[in-house]
Amino acid sequence: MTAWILGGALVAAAAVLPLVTASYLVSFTIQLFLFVVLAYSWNVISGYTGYTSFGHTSFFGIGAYGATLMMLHWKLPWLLACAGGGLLAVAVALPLGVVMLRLRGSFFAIGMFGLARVFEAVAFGWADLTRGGTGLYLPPAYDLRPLYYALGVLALGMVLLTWRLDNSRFGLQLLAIREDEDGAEALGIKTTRLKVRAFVLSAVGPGVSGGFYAVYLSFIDPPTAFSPATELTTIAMVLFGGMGTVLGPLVGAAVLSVLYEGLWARFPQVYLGAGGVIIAAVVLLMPRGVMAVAMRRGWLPHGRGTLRRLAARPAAPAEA
Amino acid sequence: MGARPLLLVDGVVKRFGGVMALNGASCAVTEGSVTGLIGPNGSGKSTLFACIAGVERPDEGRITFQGERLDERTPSEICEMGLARTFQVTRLFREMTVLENLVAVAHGRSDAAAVRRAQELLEMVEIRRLEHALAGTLSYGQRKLVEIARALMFAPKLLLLDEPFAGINPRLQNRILGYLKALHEGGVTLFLIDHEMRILLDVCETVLAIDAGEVIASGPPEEIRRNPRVLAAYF
Repeated sequence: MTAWILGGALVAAAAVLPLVTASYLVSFTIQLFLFVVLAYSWNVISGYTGYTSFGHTSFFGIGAYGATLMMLHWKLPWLLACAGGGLLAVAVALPLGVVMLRLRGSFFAIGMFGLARVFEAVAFGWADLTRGGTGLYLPPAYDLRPLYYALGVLALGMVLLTWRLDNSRFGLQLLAIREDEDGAEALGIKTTRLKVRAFVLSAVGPGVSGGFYAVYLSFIDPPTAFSPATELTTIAMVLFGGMGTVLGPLVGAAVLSVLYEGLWARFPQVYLGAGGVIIAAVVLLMPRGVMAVAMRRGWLPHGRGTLRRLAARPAAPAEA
Repeated sequence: MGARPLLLVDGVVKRFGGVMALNGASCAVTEGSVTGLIGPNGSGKSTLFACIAGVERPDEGRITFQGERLDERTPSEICEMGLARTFQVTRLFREMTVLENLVAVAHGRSDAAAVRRAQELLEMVEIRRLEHALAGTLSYGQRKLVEIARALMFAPKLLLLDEPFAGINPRLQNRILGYLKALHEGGVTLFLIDHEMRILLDVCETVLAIDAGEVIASGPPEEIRRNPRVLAAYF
């Protein structure tokens, strides 16, 4: 209950923020929303399913280019174009998932990283469409508020979706794949189908928000669209917060966004290295992230409360 | 209860590289029976189970369950047909609770129905009090019980048990034996691998002996125990 009140307050605060404050905070929060979306998306495939991807910027970049091109060539309104970018990312993710998810562990991680580099090279090379390294320009967005709200809704949607996932059998089955894929398969869990579904689901957020990012910058070029730094930051956020948890990505994105912002302002020389240091430190000190530590200490309830509530229903026979 | 074969294994060959794990194994499991499978280490027992459960695909031969081919189906299709299994070394999802382990494998039911079914099964093997315990924190014997309960989530007609009595104390062995007998009385056909002759004699109507990938004998347990080929294979 308290969680819902707290969450409601947070959402309300985020909703009024652009009405009361200067553009710096709005701009910062837009980037925070962006990373919330990316972190939650990555959490679905890498946190829950256990397939660590180092190439989810592929979908971010595809969404960014897709939306930009739809705006430039088809004159689509930005919101529709971003949705189109998301669809494009899904259309790419489906066949890609079928192929890539045959790989496991580090092979999948490296394969995904390689794919992102391939997409980046295509964006560079296909100059007729993308204008290569010059990049594509959009008319600048003077009012960031519509973008703020669109990204905010997407971010909120990702949090709620993850909450649903965490409390569903689909989520349990993804965790089963993470723990013992062969065992899960032998027990009748349709692992291939579920993995592909999770993979495609994890491409939606990056696809849509890639378009939003292009609108935000009014510009997109290959290094921006397929940036390994974006990937690394996203991974660091989820690792820090806790992989395969409902609130981990939110906590990770919030804490690291503030931290990075501070570092960037005061110590720009260490800012870029900070992501790597944080990943290393988290893996060594609390491999399951802040949320797992909080759950173990009893500060937070363990996830998957719906199952627990179902289990506590009096319809079931009582146990002495 | 006629002698209708529920499961029929016919000339199954399985090679792993140059190793012939199954070399034309043939056998039948009668509906409503308790059938044991014995054989020395490396004789192909677990491979046979893996082929039946669809985890491994036979190179030759065919396996039918209720007259339908199994060897071309996926493990999840086979589960849905009413065939479930436990593993030699328990394979629980360690970071899930006991209850979640059961619910995760449920097919088709609503979550509420799956939870209720899981609780009934945990009740049956008398570990309902552990439903919210993380599977990774359980003792080996408790994990064995959870595995049996989990396999029953499919309401199977045939239950494959890979060494259900190995590595646990005699008291728990007897408890499991009791559960298996109750299942058998409830109409579930049991096919189990084990080395515990005491238990096989007690519970099995038929014992199959496998050696070097071939079923070398089948019959009532006392007969199998005296069979010269079985003795030669074991000693």
